[in-house]
Amino acid sequence: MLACYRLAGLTVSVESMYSVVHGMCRDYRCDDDAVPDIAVSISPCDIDEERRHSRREREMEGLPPYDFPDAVLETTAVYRSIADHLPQYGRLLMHASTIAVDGGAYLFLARSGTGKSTHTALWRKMLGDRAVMVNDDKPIVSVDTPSVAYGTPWDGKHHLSSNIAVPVKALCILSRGDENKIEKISAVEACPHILQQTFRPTDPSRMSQTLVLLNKLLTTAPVFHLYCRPDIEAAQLAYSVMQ
Amino acid sequence: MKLKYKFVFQPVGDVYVATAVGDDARQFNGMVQLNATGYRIMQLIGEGADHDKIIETMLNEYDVDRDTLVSSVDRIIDSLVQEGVVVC
Repeated sequence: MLACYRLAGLTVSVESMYSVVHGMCRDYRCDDDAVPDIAVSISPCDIDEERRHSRREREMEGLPPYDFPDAVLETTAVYRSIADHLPQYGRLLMHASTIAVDGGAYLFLARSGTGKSTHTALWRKMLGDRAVMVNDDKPIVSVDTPSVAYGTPWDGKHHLSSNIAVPVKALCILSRGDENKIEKISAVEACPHILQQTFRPTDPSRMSQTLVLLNKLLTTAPVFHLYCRPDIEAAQLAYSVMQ
Repeated sequence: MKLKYKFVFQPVGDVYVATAVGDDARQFNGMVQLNATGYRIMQLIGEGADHDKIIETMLNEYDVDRDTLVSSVDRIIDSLVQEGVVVC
């Protein structure tokens, strides 16, 4: 199956073996006849590689092995392939729950299971209609002045995302804490945390481009570190400091 | 002495960041932050320089006396070995 999508301002063609990925991406469909910026074609080898990758990741996180269906593995293989090309277009794939408030995007980054989605859910509870989810899991960020966060169909287990582009207001590393505390941190302090939550191509030149973009992002957008409990006071503190 | 993995280096803020690439990225999933001296040492190790060559090269590049340089280089190499990115 072959279809074209508009993702983060880029035209992406996806040729897949299964239909699941196309159902997932339907809100991003475009019927552009132009040559795509990124052309993805998935083979059985890509799905096998994704299966190995999934096993390694679950092992690293201490989770038992789980055999995802091929069609599901294909969806991540497609995104991995897209992500590999993003640095050459000045874009990064980040692991962040991203929420827009009054036209500015706030990215909360942390390892899976830390509480990113819980925290942005508290922002929605606090701010109501003023808060819109850009993407709850894996947005694309175009690194510029200002940088822009884009919604994508790869939006986490709760499927919270919108097909929108929102200028980045701030990034925030999220850690669990016994008390709510937030501090602004430097690019150097932020780098190890943010890099850990940024897609890293294995190709050396693409990895170099990723680091160049990361440097630009971290030196142009404010970065905070929030230590928090899963309560509304944490959201109030974070919003009041970062807005 | 050699680098254990294939790295790319880029400045981020005031430091250099080294990350493993290719198949090595699976073995070394982290990153190393280096000051300018550490970056130069890793660069020279990557080019195949031994301890003496590193010292001679850096003596020509930095306005520093030999003892101070040797002490700094040894300390940085020790920490790179501890971090598992350089093997002796």
